[in-house]
Amino acid sequence: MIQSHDTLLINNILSGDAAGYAVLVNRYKDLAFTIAHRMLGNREDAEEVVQDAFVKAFNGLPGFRQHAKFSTWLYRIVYNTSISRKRLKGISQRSLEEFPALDKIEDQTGAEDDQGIMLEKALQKLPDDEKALVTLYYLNESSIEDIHAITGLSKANVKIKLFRARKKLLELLTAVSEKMYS
Amino acid sequence: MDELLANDERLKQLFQAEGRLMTSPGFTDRVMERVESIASPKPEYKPLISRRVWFLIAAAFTLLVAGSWLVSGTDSQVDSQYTKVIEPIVSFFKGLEFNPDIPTESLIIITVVVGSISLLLAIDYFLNNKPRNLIKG
Repeated sequence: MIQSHDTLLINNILSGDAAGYAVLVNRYKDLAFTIAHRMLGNREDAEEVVQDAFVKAFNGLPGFRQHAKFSTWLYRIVYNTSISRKRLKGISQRSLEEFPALDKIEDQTGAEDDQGIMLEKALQKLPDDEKALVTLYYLNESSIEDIHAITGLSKANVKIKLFRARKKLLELLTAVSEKMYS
Repeated sequence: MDELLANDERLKQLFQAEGRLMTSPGFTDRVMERVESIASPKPEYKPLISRRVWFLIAAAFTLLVAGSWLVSGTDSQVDSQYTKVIEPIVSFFKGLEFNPDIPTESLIIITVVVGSISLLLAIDYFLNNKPRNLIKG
């Protein structure tokens, strides 16, 4: 249903109704931002990357194959743009943000309650690509096929990485909650 | 594996409730500003007077100055080289009597300024078009 609505919107945009793109932006901005934030670790970079990704997607609309889902295509652009941004900024910055303090997690993500902070703290300890995988899997309920299309990883690799990431996340959540409530 | 599957639903709920991050207010507007600047075609500015017309004006003025100098230049009895060139033009304009109140000094200044601009335009036109014509052959 949403896909056919997206197709309709895209056809209108391609016919000259550029303002209709705002509907697509509003529909997908939060998840796109979540993916970018998980990969980059800060709001400013994530917002810039998502803005760039939406502009790139707009420019690429004439060549977009409409049998694919717009969201999958957009998230792939977000994923790739985030990787490029990370490469550009260097890996050294990551080590500083690897294990932020609890209050910093609240500032960066807006998490307010214990469960939100717990989740963010556990996620921070996962490698960036695994953060993106679990976000797509649990939050977007993406299939292996979709994650393969977004990340460009082979399906077998997605399965292995996702299994590892889910297992690690569960362990981390257990450890974090024990630490928080002990 | 079983433990993972058993916890999947719980993790899904946790992500749905807490894992979605929000963009800052005005995000959509900022994206749309960039999108609309791409989508709206940039207006093409055309000069009111084309380069070709400017060239014609310049050429006409140059011809007028040159012609007036040839017609009345022989009568002038002046010493300096400078007034030798300017005087015939001034007398030509005076001869037209379209505005007899214009002082000679102003006419000299106008003639020199307009003549220089015309000459520069003609040179510019020539330099810009000559190589292309030469290539075309």
